[in-house]
Amino acid sequence: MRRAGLDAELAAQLERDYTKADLAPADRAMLDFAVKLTRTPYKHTREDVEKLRAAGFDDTGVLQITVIAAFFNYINRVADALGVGKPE
Amino acid sequence: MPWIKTTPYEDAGPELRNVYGAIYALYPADYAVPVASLVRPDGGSDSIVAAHSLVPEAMRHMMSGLAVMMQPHLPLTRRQHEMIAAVVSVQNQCFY
Repeated sequence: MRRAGLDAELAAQLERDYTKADLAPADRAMLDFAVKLTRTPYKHTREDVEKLRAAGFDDTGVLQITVIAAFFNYINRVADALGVGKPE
Repeated sequence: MPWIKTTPYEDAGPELRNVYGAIYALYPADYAVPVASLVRPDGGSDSIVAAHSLVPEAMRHMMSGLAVMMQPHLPLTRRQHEMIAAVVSVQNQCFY
C-alpha cells in the first residue's frame, strides 16, 4: 500500500477510510470522484464534474482524475485475474 | 509469479525489449524507482506491464496511456496520482 509519493501515515489513513483522512478539500473531492467511478460509475452525472471544478480542477485535471482512476480499476482487474503480485 | 506466461525485461528478445523501453521511457523520471512493496523476497518484481508481454503491441498501447496521463506538466501531482491509485485499489480490495 505504501507508495513512493505518499508518507506512511497518509497511506495508512487512506487504507483505513479515506473519508477520515487529513486531506485538502480538493484532494477529498478528487477521491470522492474516483471512488464513485470505482463503485457506481453508472451514477455519475454532470454535477460530479462540477464538484471537481468547484474544488479547483480544470478540465485537464478532471480528465486526469477520470483516466487514472479508470486505469487503476483496469490494473486491479488484470492483476487479480492473473495473479500479478500475489503469492504462489 | 503471474498465473500465465510472462517475459520480464531481462529475458525479453529485441522486439519485446524495445516495447518495454518505449513504455518506461514515457514514465516521469521519478517513477523509475521500484516500488518496494512490489519487490518479491527473491529480488524480482511482479510487473503489471510484464503481464501483457505475450502481446507486445497490446502491452505498448495499454501501458503507455497511463504514463502519458502522469506527466508532470499536467495539473495533478504525483502525490495525487498515488492517492487515486491507493483509494481505488482499496475499494477493489486489490493488493496491486
